[in-house]
Amino acid sequence: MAYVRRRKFSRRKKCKFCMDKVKMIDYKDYERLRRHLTERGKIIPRRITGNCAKHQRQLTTAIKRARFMALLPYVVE
Amino acid sequence: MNTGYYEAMFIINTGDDEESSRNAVLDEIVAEVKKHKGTVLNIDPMGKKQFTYTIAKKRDGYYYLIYIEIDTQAIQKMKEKFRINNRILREMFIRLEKEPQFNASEEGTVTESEVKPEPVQEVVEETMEQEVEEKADDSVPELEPITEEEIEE
Repeated sequence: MAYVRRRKFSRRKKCKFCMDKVKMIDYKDYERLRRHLTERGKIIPRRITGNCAKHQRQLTTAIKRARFMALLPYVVE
Repeated sequence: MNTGYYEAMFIINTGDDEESSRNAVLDEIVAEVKKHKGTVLNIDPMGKKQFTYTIAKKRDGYYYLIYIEIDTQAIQKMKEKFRINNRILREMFIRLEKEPQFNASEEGTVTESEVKPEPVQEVVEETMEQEVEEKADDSVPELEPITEEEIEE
């Protein structure tokens, strides 16, 4: 019952990067990438954000580059 | 010689806030690029930024974006050189697929018209991929929505 009801109200998520027609996700745009991290600094999986596979792949490399340059955290404690 | 376009990002912290000492480090970088027969296309200072974690016990540094065209073989040698320099906290080289365009310069507007046909083709490819993506996605049963709190430990 609960499952049926939840499905009824779940709206199909769409990739934010596709909607904005982003060609390449830039690691320098770290304010935007930050929205794809949890409070602990983990990358949010695409089953939650609804990103397409192509952009999620770009996103993970962009986040990792930004982390190396200390623009994004590895961990938040 | 196989050359490529690179976008390099440097974090410089000289221990003081003097611009002259930072410029000295930049000159070293430019000299190193020239030594390997590379050309510096643009230097873009991004200013002082706070780190999200400490690097070599420092909390902030000055970020610089440098666009270069250089032999692909030289990158590794340059990295080794920069790693020894303790005023450069981080360096990262990213290879660009095509020549970078700089909006600030007047030359950029001239070359833009020449480059225009390329992006159109890319967009076509992209939309095709997207369609495939959506089709593939539809066949997969949608997972139950999980709130952000649930994926936190």
